[in-house]
Amino acid sequence: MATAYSQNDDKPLFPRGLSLNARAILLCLFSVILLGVDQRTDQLQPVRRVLSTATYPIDILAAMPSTVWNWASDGLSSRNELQKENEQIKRQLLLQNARLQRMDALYEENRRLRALLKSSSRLQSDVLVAEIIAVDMDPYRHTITLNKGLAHKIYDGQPLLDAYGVLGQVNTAAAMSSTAVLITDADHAIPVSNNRSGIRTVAYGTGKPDVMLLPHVPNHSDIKQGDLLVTSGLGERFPAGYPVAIVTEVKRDYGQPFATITAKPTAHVTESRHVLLAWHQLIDPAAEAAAEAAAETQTDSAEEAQTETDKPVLGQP
Amino acid sequence: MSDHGHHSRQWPLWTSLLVAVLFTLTPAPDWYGTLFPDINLRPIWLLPVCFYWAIALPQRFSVGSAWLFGLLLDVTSGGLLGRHTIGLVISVWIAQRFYLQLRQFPFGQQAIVVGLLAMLQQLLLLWIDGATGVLSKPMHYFTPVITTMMLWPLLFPLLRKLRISLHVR
Repeated sequence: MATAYSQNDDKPLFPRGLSLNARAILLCLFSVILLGVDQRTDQLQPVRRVLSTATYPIDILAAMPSTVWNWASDGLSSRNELQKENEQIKRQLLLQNARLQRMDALYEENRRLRALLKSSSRLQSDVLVAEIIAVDMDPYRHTITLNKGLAHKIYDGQPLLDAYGVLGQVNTAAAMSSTAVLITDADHAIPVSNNRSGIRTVAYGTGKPDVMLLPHVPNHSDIKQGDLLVTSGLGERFPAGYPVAIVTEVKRDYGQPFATITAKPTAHVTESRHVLLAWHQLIDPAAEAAAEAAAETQTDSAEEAQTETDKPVLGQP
Repeated sequence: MSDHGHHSRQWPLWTSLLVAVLFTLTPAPDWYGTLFPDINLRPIWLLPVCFYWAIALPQRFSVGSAWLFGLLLDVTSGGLLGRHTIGLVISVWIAQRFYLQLRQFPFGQQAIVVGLLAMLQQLLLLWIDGATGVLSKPMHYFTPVITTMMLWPLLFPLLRKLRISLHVR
């Protein structure tokens, strides 16, 4: 059997450089350092960005089987099914449009009120549709790869939505792709508030696609089954007011300080093939103050200029 | 024998390692989740392929290359950098120390060695993930060891055939 192997075994294995043992030990040590630095700091983020960009073709190749499968199943779905889907989408569009008309009015009103209060508008309506090109193989680690990256102005920490709620956030943006972690990942936490009672807390992922945990809610808090949890906007990562999850169970054990609360994400975590990337840039307080001051002086001069016309300065678009 | 360096064909070696990384990354089809809802049966691909090349061509494939492919897997799978590299380097190290003996082993014994190395790697992953707080069920780390051992009697002849028919040296 050994004869089938290559015959140059008699050559010295490592004629140059370090011995096998030394190299193995050095590489292991280097790996440990790498792990430590990557875990404790963000310093390797640029390295990871470059490497992810370089390995983008591998992501595409790895996603090929599911891409082909989706393509084939799309191509084979019957005319009947497509018609049904089309009808449904049309109906949905009608409903959404009706809702949007009301939204427009509300948006304008909100903008005017905000302008009157001189509070900075944090509503950013810019979104981009991205396609999920790969899903992590580990059933407990919920990370996905998207086909949009730095070239599309994606940034680290950018919120990820689908049509039904918050889905996750971008982990690392590479040149043409980015990896994102979902809110159901066992390593993810998102600040939320109860839409009904306003209680703020943090919702943790569990690694299961339909379960989130709220471990820090005191027993006497006003929270019950069916409550909608929305992003609280604290932590300045996610914009406030987007739906996150619906409370599925509240167990109060009065021997314990906190209630056991589980919730189900409103976003369709396992079914989405397309996701929305939202722009919610952090507003630096100092820059904000400066901008406000600038706006104020402008407003003052504008007011002076427009005293005769007696037109409201803020308000109308 | 002196002019090996001139036309040594190496691409099947690197391609097989790349394919192992791809197999690791490819998402499981939907039916897998419904068939085996809470058990991780996906074999470990990169480690046995590295092991094979380390015993077959120790002068071509060594700890440095194993480390690079481990890093490739870390980057593409989105984990911490260095998560897979230690286990792979140790496996290839052991394979190279004892490659003459390991080549003589029958499939069964080789499978046991591969299983032990895979177990070591999964223990390291379990430890790293535990220390960094992203631990999932410990069971999910160890069921792949069994499927990896079962895979070896298929993988070994396949890679051997690849190496001999394509004259990889």
